[in-house]
Amino acid sequence: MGLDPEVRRRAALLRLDEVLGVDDEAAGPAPRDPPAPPLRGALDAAVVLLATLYLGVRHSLTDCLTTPLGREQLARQVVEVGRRGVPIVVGVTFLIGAIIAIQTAYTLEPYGATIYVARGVGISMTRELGPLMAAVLVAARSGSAIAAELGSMVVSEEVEALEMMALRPRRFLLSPRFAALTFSVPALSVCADVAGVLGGAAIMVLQYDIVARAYFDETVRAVYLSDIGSGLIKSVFFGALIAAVACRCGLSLRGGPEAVGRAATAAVVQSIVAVVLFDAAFTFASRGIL
Amino acid sequence: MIDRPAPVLETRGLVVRFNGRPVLRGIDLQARAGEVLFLMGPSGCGKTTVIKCIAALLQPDEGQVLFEGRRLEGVGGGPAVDAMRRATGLVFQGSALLNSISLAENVALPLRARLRLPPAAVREVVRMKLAQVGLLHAMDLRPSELSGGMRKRAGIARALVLDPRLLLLDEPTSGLDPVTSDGIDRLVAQLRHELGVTVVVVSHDLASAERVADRLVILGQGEALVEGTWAEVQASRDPAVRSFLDRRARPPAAAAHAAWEGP
Repeated sequence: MGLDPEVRRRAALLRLDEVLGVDDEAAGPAPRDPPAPPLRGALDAAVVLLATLYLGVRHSLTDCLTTPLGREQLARQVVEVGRRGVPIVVGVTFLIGAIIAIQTAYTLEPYGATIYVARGVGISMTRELGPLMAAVLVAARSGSAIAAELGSMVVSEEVEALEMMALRPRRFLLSPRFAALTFSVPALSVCADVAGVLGGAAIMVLQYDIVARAYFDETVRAVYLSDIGSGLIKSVFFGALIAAVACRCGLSLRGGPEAVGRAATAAVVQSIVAVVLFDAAFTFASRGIL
Repeated sequence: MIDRPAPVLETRGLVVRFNGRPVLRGIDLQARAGEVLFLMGPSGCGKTTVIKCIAALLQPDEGQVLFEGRRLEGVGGGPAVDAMRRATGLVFQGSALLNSISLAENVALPLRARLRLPPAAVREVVRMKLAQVGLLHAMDLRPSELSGGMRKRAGIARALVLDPRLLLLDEPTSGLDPVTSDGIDRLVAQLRHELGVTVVVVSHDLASAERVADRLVILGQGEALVEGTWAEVQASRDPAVRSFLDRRARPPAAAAHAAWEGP
């Protein structure tokens, strides 16, 4: 496969060679070869991204759960990505639920149908905005942090040090982050769903004199388990995409410390674009539009 | 006939190019069991590149590296590379400690990656290695909380934790005060004499080389300019070697200022 030499070397370090068919000899000379042309570089990056996704799906759980080091790394990442992400996700989606409620009520109030705001908020939060906002916030908060951390490790030779210690970067760096994000984004999506519904309820109760019980009854009538399920399924993919993009941006970093900032920015932009593209494709496909 | 130990490490005709520019132009080296070999030369002459090729972190464009007679192939691994890494400790120029975990956890990493030891045994070995480099008191600190010298010593402790047969040190004394540098030299000498460890040191530090090197190789422009003991290297008439070695006899600062002709 005609990949850029740098991509081949990083692929070999990550053991992507299993997927890409890169042999070790070919994976050798690295930062010394001239960079590939932009389009070629983008294609190479896409191939490595897909391969990273594949490796994450195939190996992350076994890598993390079969050794004490893997379990420790996974726990560390779950705390970092998941638990510490709860306040920001809950805070933002509470406000988004409130905003949607205000805007929808503005439309429905002339018809005396403000109770149906509960439906709009419930369905849009569970099917779309909860998972999407959780993913965007995780991409901004954790995707950038992961890319910057891994990029710094590349610059300061820590990745090479791990190689010397027989701690494969895939096992030690990629898998825990992949598993943590794939688990944490759905969990944060549930928090986002609940916070959004509560935000909408707060506005409707305080501003439009809707009885809280009536609001929640209407939400329960409107939102089916399939709505929550489709949001959760999407969020699993969102987490995997963010992890793959962030790890790829960090581990394929070239240059010195100044490149770390660029890797973090690229991770945020690319993972948000990837999430939105996937979301669009999923939604179109599930509605039979594609 | 002199009975010389077999080489533990050998490089044959290493050639490395960066962007088509040759950095190494056919380096042949041998490090014999239990000897301290210094790779010296001015900045940019390819010393660290040699170390990375030896550690199989960089694939040479041409040539080969042999560890204990087995050829190392590929940066991605393989049995020979894995066996070499199991038996080799590498101290990186910037120490390359993981900043997200404590010093003790850093030193424990190779043990936990390679051996299935009970936690108490891991702790004991870590304490022993940290005591060996005088860092037992700092075991719970993060690398970012350590001074440069402490990080270097911590890197050495991590490299020693599996009792390697080959130790690769990349600029172990650069940026350190003379007392700390002396301590690292003593540690290298101790490893060589007490444990028979083969040590390859990349360094600019001539004083350190004079103290502990069994043999030196001076590199310049990607080639080995001269190889031998300290006395043999000192006798070299090669202008590039003399230019590097004669830095020790630099004029005092006043003379340097006087020689300055202005912009």
